[in-house]
Formats: sequence, structure tokens, C-alpha cells
Amino acid sequence: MKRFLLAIVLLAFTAASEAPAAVDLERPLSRAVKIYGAGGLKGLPAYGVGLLIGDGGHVVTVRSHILDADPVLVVLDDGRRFDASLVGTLDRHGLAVLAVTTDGVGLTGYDPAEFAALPPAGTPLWASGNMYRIAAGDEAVSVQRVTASYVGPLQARRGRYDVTLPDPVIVLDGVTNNPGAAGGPVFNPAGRPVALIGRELRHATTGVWVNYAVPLRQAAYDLERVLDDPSAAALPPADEPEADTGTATLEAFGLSLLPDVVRRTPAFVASVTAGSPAAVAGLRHDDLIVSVGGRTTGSVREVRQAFATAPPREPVVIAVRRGARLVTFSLERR
Amino acid sequence: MNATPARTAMRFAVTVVAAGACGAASAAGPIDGTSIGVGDAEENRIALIERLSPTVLTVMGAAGGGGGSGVLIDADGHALTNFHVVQGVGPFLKCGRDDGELYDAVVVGLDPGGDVALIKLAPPAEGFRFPFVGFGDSDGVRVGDPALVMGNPFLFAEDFTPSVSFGIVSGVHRYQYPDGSDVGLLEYADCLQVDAAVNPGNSGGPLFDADGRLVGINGRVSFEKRVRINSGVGYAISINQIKKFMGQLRGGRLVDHATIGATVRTERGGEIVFDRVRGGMPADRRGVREGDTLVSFAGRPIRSVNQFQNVLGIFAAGQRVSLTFRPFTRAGEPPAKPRTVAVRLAARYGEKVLNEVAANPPGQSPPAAEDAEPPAGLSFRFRPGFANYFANEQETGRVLALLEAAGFRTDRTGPWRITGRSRRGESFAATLADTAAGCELGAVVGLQPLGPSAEPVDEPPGTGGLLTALHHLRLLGTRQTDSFATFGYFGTADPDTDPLLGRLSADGPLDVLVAENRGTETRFYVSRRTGRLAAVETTLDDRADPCRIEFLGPSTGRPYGLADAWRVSYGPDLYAELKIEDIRTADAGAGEGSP
Repeated sequence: MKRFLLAIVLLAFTAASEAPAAVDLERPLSRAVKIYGAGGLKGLPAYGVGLLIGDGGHVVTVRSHILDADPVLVVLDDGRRFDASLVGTLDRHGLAVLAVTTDGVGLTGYDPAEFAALPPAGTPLWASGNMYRIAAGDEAVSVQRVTASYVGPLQARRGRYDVTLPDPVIVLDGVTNNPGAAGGPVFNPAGRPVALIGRELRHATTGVWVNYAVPLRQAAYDLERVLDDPSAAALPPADEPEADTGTATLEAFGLSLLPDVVRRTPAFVASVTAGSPAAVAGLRHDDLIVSVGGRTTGSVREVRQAFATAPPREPVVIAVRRGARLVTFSLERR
Repeated sequence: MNATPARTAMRFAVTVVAAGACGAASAAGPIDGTSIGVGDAEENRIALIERLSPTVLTVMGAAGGGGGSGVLIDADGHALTNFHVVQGVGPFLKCGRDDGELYDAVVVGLDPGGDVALIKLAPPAEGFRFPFVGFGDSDGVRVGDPALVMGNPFLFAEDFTPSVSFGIVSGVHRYQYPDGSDVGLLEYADCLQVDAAVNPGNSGGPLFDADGRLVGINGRVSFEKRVRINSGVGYAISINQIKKFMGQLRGGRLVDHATIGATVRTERGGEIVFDRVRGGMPADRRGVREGDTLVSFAGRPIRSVNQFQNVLGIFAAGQRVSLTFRPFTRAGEPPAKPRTVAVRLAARYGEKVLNEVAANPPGQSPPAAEDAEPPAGLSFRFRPGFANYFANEQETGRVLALLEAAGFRTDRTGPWRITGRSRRGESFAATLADTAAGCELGAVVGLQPLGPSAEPVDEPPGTGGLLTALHHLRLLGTRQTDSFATFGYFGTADPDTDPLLGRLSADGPLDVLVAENRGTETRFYVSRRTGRLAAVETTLDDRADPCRIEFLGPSTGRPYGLADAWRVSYGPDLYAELKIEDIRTADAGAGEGSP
């Protein structure tokens, strides 16, 4: 089924008298490629999406752990499979460029000059991606119809790391940034590429998963330079220069619990390091920790998990049972 | 909507639909604004939703439990929902409709593998006709088409007014692996993917196209590490798959999915190659060997393992499809020519597994509700292998009545004497009696003893059991179906898609009766349109190919209304083409007589 000739509406955004736009998704989707690379551990998907650019078998995608494998596998919508290697990254734009290493002649993609300008909030968009690895082989990636809700800077984090995002990004009103959607091209009503779905990230302060895309137009000039001369791209850094905002470990707060010997060892405080945040807050030997950051905890393991995933930079609020009383403490970070 | 109160508009819609003016609510115009103004599109969409609303159900167990959605598909009150919505809640259900009323309902047919259940609502009064929706063509759905999802997510609506979400089709011909259980149920093959919100409680509810035609039954979503709410990825069982199972579901069966007894893998270079081919299974019987390349299946080219599972998953056991493969050749040899064969699909789960998963409470058989009194207007009968045996009896009775109206059955129970001539000029004669069946075709003589200890055998040799087929034909024709170990309605067959029944296409859709006896299985194909017996097919054991007699050409007033041209084949191979000249029957003990 590759009949994607579509006519789609701008229900909310065109005047009733205006002729609705027709979107031909066949050409756009035929240039979205499935990428398989590193990952598969700790809930990190080992698959994503990219967009064919130029005419020499280049693929633009978002920078992510998937590209830690070399080569990665690129699968076209007709089922053809190619090995591809990282040519370089455009750190400022959060993008990476791959080139197929097996004969990529004839793999025609978009000229970066075709990338559409940054859409204003309210623009209807079609977001593609291989969320949940639904598409395989010659199957087309998935498409969702969304709206640009917000266009501007965004503070995000991944786990406990702050992540630097290009400015601006496009926040979308649909649940687009599912596992495997990263790199999925987002098209405007004219069928032109606007952005790529970003990797899975949470908002820095609220912790909610953000559905956003990284614009392409801003990177068009740099992408054209890379296509002309791959050495123009920045070499990929050995490690991502992401700022560690501090792991919330029990030890960092000066807490030590009972040895975790059985599956549900009760989280009794064994000792408190003198002068530590826990000691300053007033925790004592034999307190039973029953909640961390608002999450009920029933074991040493759950307490450790709750500390590890506590929002960074903020005090960690815990509740303990001391004798028959329930006491709440706020542990300051150092 | 404008000033018209929604409530009134809905009642109006009910009246129109219930009056039979249009069974399926169809749109007054496009709802996606492709060819009209956006305001008109919105008006059309609102009108469409109001017309569809009375067909959408909230489905719950009669004693609580369960909880999902459903959709009415005929005026008698048949409705579709998910198997997982009705699993374990017993055969009796309560269904809420947008009129705020609760209706009693009963399970009719179950497809645990495909996650489909057919249920039936009790009409509130005699002669009541439910509003219902018509089926669309899910193979015609394209990516980007509007997707209208209705149901009762989170079971919020206590007055059962359906919730609506609207989006686009995100993908077609998707494959979603079976659940994690040992037997692997709830496989979504060839399904539709939508971005319209699908949440817990939407399960079993309808997916409509822009014209309000039913194109799918919503049932699964991808949640993965997020919470169990919509993540923009919902899946609907395609209505075209359900159509293939509908006959069996109406026949009250526990429907089985299919296997060809072979697995495939992707070779380097992308070819799909047979990996393991189990002896005696359908693929093996058609000459498929390990290393052969799978080219197409059921008329669809296969380019990935996923695709093969996708296409296989939409068929029921017992259906027949075409398979094209290229025999293995060594490197350097010229590639072999592709061969196309017809495979009859074998059962994937088997009756034992299906009985267990459908039992209520799960794992117990017979179900606790076996003896429960059904609510007024509904009937239920327990029998292993069936979701509701009462429905099977009804369908069996319907087809037998069709046959009788077409002149097939008589009360005469005596022997039959059939005479004729083969196309090659040999004389043919068969005598069918209670103790034995025999025949002569030219110099070939066949004999099938029918005593209590006689085993059905391949007689005459090379027919696959022609005499057993004729014997069973006589049992049906002489009202002796009690002599079969089991006898009932199987479902439907479509001569347009069954590669071996193509000669019967003039008969249109076929109802199939099935009889089992001494390890043999005989199917009687009856034209739903004319009531004519179109074919008989006997399989001596479940690893054998069937002997098939097709009754072709016009009926010439012979007893039983049978046509004169009989085409006898064994599996795909023609055995004989017979021109029947006479069929004589005798009343029991009365010797020869003319009908």
C-alpha cells in the first residue's frame, strides 16, 4: 500500500471559504528512512528515523545514542538496506549526517534548500516516525497529524542530565516523541520538510515528556556545506558534553540503610554521617523511610530508585516513620 | 451543531436508521474538507457522529467485570467487540447504548487469536430493529485518511453516550505480535494504525472511515514505558479480516487461526525462504521444501517475514488460499520457475487451547454459566469448540432449510444407485447402501465397507475417499445426519477467493456444513443465494488432501436437485469428470424404485 496521495484539511486553521490544502505524502514518506544502530539497553530504543538529503546517499537525523554504532543500518521504504556511517554532527542544530557506505548512487533526497521556514505556532504538520518499531522492511513509517503549539527555546533533561537543545525547537500537540520516533521528518501542508522529531526528553523543571521537533531550515546552510564537503562537519565528540546536575544518591546525603539482602528489605536507616545533609535535616538511626519525593517506598531498593530519579537541583523530601510518628524531612543538595 | 438540540437530532437519526431507510449511516458529504469548505466539513462530521452514535455500545459482563466498547452490525442486534472485553465475564453481557438504556446480550462467536467477539443484544420488544453500521473496505484505507474512533474510553460515560476522537490513519497493513501468553493470542495482523486517541475502554469499539463505514475494531495501543493511556498509536483489527471470520462467528464457533506448517526467514538479499517445513502439513503436502523461496501468499507478494505473518494472520483455519513459491536451486543453476499451489490452512491453536482460553472462569470447563438461565430474548448453549452452540444450531437449521427448499433432501432412506459416464467415455456406476458403498469407473472398482469396524479408506484408490464422500452425501440427503459423530454449520466460503472453488463462482458466497465421522471430515458447500448443493469435500484424516465433488452446470430435475456434471478431484488434481445420467433411490427395504 503505497498510495499516499492525500487531501487533508486544515480544519481549525483555515477560513471556511478558503480552499483546503492537499498534501501529497508519498514523496515525503518515501524519503524517510528507518535507522537501526546502538541501544536496546535501559529502555533506549536501538532504532530511529532519518531523512534522505542530496543525491549521494546522505541522511540527516537527530544526534542520539543510536549513532554510537558504526556502521548503522539504513532501510528505505522499498526495503533496500544500506550500511551507513556518521559523517559528522552539527552540534549547534542537534543534528547528525550519515552517508551510506555501500553504493548509494541514485539515492535521491531533499535539497536542503527545499526545507521549509520555521512555522508559526498553529501550523498543521504531519509528523512521521518509527515509534515502537512498527514499520519493518519495506513498510512505511507512521504518520501523525499534529499542530505546532509553541516555537521557541526549551530546557530539557535526559535522566539526570541537562540536555542542550537547539534554539528554537517546535513543540507539537500530539504524542509524537515515542520510542523510535527520533529523527522522523515533520512535513508542512505543502509536503516540505520542516523539522525532525527530537529524541525522548523530559522538560527540565516539570519532568513531563516533551513532544518536540528540531527545525531543519536553520541547518540548511551547514547541511549543504556538509554535502559539498563532508570535512566541513564537526567531528563527533567522544562523549556528549552534557552537564551532570548531580545524582541523588543516598550516600551523597550521608545516609546508609540496612544491607539490601532480601527482595524487600525494609528501608531502615542504619547510620547517618555526621555533618551530612541527612544529619543537618535531623534523620536518625532506625528511622524507616516510607516515601521519597512523594513516592511511597516499601524497600531499600525502592528508596534507592526514588533517590536516583528525583528531580535534579531540588531538595529531596522524604517521610520516615519514627516510632509511631510520621516525620517529614527535606534533604538539601550540596 | 447549530441550534438544533443534539438529543433531538440523535433521536431523529435513530428513527431514520431503524426504519430501514439506510441500514448503515452514511455521510451526507465529506467530513475531511477535501472538496468543500471547512465549515461544511465540520457540519457533516457532526451530523455523521450523531447518526453513528446509536450504533456504538458500552459492553460489560452481566455480573460486572469486563468493560469496553462495541458496535452494532445488523438490525437483529448482532454487534462486534474485542474478545478481551468479554473474556472471563461469562456468556451473558450488558450493553449500554446512547439512549441511556442497558440491553441484555449474549456471546455468539469468539475469535481469541484475532481478539474478536460477536455478540447479540436482546431486542427490547418484538420486531424491534437496531440501528447498525455497514462494513467498509479496510484494504482501501490509505495513510492520511480521516479516522473516526468512537467508544467509551475509561468507561466515563455513565449514560453510554459515546466519546469521539478524530485523527488520521498513521499506517496500514501493520503487524502487532501476539500477547505474551504461552499460546500467543490477540495477534493483530494486517491491522490499521491511527493517531486518533484510543484509550482503555475503547477496546472493541468502531473505527469509521470518512463515510461512516466500519473499517476496523479498535483494540490495542502501544504504551511501552509511558503510562497506560493514549500515546498517539492505536491499532484496529481490519474489518476485512473480520469478514473472513464472520460466517464462523455467526455459527457460534470458537474460531481458529491458521498455519501452513512452515516457517520462513529472510535471506541475505532479502529473499523470503522456507526455514522449517513440517511433514504432512499443508505446505509440505503441496510440495514446498526447506530452502524454497516464498514469492506470494493469498495473492499478495511477500517481501518480509512480517508480511507473511501479516497475511497469514487474517485467515481462519480451514480456509484455502494460493501460495506461490520458487523451488530451491543451487548457485549457478538457472532459477526454477515459480509454482502456484492452493493450500488449505491448518489450525493454529487447536480446539483444546481455544476451549481453555474461552472457558469461564478461565481454565475451567464447562463454564460456570453453563446452567445459567439466559435473559429473555436470548439463548445460550454450551458445547466444547463453540462459543454458543445455540447459534450453530440456528445456522445449521437455516442452511438445511435452504437445501430443502432447493429440493435436496427427501425422507427416503434406502440405497442409492448412481449411473453415468465419464468424459473419457468410461461407464460409471455407484451403489450406496447402509453396509457398503461401491463403484465402478471403467475397469476401476472401489469398495468401502461401512460396518461398525470399517475404516474409511482411499477408495477407489487415488480419489482421496470418493466413496466416503458419496456415502456422506447420502446421509445428508436422507436425513441421517445423526449418523455423523458431529454435524453442524462451519461458516462461509467464498469461491472468488478460494483457489479451488472458482468454478462455483456463479453460486456466490457459500454456506458450509461440516460433518465428522471416524476421523474423517466432510464439508457440504451450499449456495447461499440458491440453496443449491455446490460441492462435497471429504478429508480422510487431517493430514490428507480432500476428495472433492463439484456439482456443476444446471440442475436437470434429478433427485435432490443435483446438477449432472460432477467434477471429482483429489486435492488439486482432477480424478474424473462425470456426466450423471440417473440417480435412483429406494425406500428402506423396498428394493429398487424410482424417485
